[in-house]
Amino acid sequence: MTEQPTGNPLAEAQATSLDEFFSRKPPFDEGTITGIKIELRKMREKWLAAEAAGASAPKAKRAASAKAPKGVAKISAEDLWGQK
Amino acid sequence: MGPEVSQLPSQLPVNSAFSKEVPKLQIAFDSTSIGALQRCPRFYQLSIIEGWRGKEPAIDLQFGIWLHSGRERFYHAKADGAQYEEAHNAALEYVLTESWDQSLGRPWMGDEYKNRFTLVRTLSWYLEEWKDDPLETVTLANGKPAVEVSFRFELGALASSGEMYMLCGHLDRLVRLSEKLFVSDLKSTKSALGSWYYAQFENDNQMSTYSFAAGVVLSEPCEGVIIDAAQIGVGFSRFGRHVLKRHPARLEEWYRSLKVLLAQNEQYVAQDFWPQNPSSCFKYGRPCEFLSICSRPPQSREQWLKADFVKRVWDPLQVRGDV
Repeated sequence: MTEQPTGNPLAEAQATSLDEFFSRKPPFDEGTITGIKIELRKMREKWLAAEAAGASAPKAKRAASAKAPKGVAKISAEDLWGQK
Repeated sequence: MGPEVSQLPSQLPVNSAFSKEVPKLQIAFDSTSIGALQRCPRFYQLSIIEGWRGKEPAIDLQFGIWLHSGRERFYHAKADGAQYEEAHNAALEYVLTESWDQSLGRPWMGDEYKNRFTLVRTLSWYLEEWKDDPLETVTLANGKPAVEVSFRFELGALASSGEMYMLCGHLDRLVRLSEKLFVSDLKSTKSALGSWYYAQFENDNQMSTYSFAAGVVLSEPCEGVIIDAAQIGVGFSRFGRHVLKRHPARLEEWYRSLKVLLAQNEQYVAQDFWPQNPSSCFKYGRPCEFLSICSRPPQSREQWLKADFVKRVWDPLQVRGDV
């Protein structure tokens, strides 16, 4: 799986940062944990905003891929609406 | 989730949940064992008595164990005086550490939906979602929060072996809502969290077992179970909460049904034969994991089990929590 291009350098930088976080092995210092938590919080806020706005699947996909680390950025209509 | 020990057959420990007097007679039952016996006696025989399990990695099970344990770390840290952010960090540190595969020197991979990243994301977002949780965790007599509480007590029914049947298991979290006692149970799923999803728990054995047990553990009526559901998508985690009431009369009925079920099991033990329940070969549109075994002639099944499954011990008497 590959990261979807977002056209947003800041978002891509954040994604790279999270990707790097999630390939790390323990132990984790407090700063690393807090950094991960803050990135996840930003990701959640974007997701909630997209969902509240009733984002279409492609828009939400772009929102999700702007935040998720490489390899986990895919999102589908099934993910969004639970349709199989 | 459960007290599972998986080793080579020759190294498998003795299952303490079974009778010391009568071979294959289970004395200590948890909701998993009861559910297996209700579903299909043959499924119960293969999965619980004989302990067969598919060889493929149990991703859902592992994900659920870490998610529960991470949540447990959060509540314990809060009970020890930590503020929200500190407790949140403690929970994340736990799952990040546990989900690093030491033997392979890489993160736990899971699958597309359930992996190290979605585990940490789901736990973190869950704690954010319920930061101002209206549910108040019960504090036990020992001062600890009632999270991942192990229980075991006599059922008040005597087995033919002379041993007293026991009910045992683990309660995710005991909570109060408007001063009433509930069990809070955390579930993770790939399914959408609609009424269809929650309907599966309305008459679910596990939820009745938990409600019954919580009432005994705290010596007060338990109103039912509050399901905290987490829908895991590839790019998001979504949460929902649903209250499942269990009227005392329904729990009485469940208890009576359980005693009848245990009596039936004694008949199976006496005959050393657990019949198939063909109407359970498909559940939720999926085949039973043993369908390929039951579809073969009886004399060849053992050979196929050895080829396609591994053995483990499901011992519900293994303690997981603090009680």
